[in-house]
Amino acid sequence: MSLAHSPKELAKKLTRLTLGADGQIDPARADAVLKALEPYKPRHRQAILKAYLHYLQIEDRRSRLAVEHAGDLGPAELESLRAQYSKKYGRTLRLEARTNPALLAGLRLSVGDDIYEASAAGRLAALATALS
Amino acid sequence: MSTVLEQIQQEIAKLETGSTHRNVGRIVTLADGVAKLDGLSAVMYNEMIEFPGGVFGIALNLEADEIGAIILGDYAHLKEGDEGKTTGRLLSVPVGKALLGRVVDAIGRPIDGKGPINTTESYPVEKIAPGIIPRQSVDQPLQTGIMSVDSMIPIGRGQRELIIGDRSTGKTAIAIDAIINQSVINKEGLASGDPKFRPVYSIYVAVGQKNSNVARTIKALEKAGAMEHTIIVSAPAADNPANQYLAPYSGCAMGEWFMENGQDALIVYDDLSKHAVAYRQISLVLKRPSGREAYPGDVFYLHSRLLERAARLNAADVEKRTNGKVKGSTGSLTALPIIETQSGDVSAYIPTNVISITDGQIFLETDLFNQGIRPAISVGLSVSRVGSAAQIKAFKQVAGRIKLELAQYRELAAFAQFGSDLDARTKQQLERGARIVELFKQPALMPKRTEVQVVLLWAVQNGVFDPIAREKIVAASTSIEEFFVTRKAATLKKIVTEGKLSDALTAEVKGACEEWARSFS
Repeated sequence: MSLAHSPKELAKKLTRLTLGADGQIDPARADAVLKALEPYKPRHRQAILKAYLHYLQIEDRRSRLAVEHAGDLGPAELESLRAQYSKKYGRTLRLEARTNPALLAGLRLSVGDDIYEASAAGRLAALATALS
Repeated sequence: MSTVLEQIQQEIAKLETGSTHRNVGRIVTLADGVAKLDGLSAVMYNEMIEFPGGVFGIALNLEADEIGAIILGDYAHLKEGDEGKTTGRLLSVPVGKALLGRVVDAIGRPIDGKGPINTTESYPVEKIAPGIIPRQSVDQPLQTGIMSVDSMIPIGRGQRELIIGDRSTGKTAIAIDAIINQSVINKEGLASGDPKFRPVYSIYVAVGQKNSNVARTIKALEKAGAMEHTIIVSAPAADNPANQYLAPYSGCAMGEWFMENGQDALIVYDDLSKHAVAYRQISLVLKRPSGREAYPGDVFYLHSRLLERAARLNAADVEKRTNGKVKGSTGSLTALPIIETQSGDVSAYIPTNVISITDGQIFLETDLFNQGIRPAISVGLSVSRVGSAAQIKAFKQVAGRIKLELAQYRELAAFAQFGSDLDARTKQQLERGARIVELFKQPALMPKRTEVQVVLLWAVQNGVFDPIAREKIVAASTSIEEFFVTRKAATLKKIVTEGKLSDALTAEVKGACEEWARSFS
């Protein structure tokens, strides 16, 4: 593997190689990438690995639909949300749901850097900002 | 109490019932007023970013892996890992007449302790300048009240005239005199009830100044009664560079409101050298590539896009912008940017940039200042590219030859230093030139009315001051001004109403001057 590219550019390429057909991180591919990096000089290896980790974390966030809900939300509704947002983002999203009583009511969804606020707590916070 | 309840009800009604979408990022590094954020994948250039604690920033660097944002306000409570979210809007400032008489910071918040400013409109801080078609040529005078400027370097409404010179040469004094004079003219014109009268509102933008200087300026304007027609935008030296960078654009947005509503405004940027330094600091912290003198490559664009927003709009464009509410009225924004030079070097980077943008410059020299010639305007190096198109006819009649006479005087004065015998004509030219120089001396914060200037210039051109000793010319000009204001007010009024010196009016002025000369000793 040539080191002509900067560590960041190389890490980006390695990240693309680590993703499976479904757009999710493939552990087997990640393992293969780590093994391929072993022969390289320590300082380059560290820089590439740090950048690689950073980009993988970004990809992980982008591949994950985090659903926070205040009340009960059944598996069918969650699956419906997952399918809807997978279609919106053009990739298969992994669902992570948890209860968050601080929301008071409603939902908060996050995919990567995007947050969709449909909770009572969010609206009250928006009202407070508007009034201040 | 009921107002507060109504406000809450209005805000509740405005809240959307659907979900809201925001794009977020996290602070990775924070130093020197600049935050680097991870995430914010959908942020746009110049978009406002909201941080915890009601602090806002503006996204200036959109890089592949991070966003660089300047923080507006106090960022001491922010830390690594704090969330920043997009707001979907550009930075705007409040605009309108409610700002007159107020002192605000770089984003339009009042800092004078006089309570909130009740405005209904806000304008974006960054705006594209008017194109070619909406503009109208500059032909309305903007009287600064400084005789050497109004006679030889006349400024028109909608022009950009640079005031450039070394430190402590009187640059700010010229700008303040111009603001005070607008206020004096406004009060007289509005009191007269003339429907054709067009007041000029002023905006003074203080960038990187000492707080004591800004306070002194405000006091001077209050004392002269000029604050009621003036907005002060203050981003002092203690303010963070982001605020110093934004302040001129905020002031310009406030001035644009007047222009786009068919009114006239004057804006003073004091000074753009410090503005460029603040922008350099921000750019270097954002790791943008630096060029000449460590300024970023777009430092010309920094000032060109600001100064191009000062213009004169034609009546059709004003009508379109106001949706037909204002008809038949042009609007203008006149800019007086100030640049500080080092050792009189006008060929330095920032000065040459701004000289090439503006429609002329008023160059102040330290030597002249030290010789007691104040305002220390170098007539040879100063120019107004609008010229006599921005002078009333009476002024053109008396001031047409002044610049030439002064130029001839300077040439002859250099020659006369060698002590050779001079012929009578040369001596007369030297004496006349010396008297013109004395006449142009004017104390700060005391602008002269247009009609008084016309009389003084007519008097010096027609030898009224020739019998008076050179060292008494300043006293003589004060005396003749007082004489005309107190005893020949009707003559002065005719100069204003007629706008030119007819034969009859010239005879009247001549008679009055002769009457004064008999009484002056």
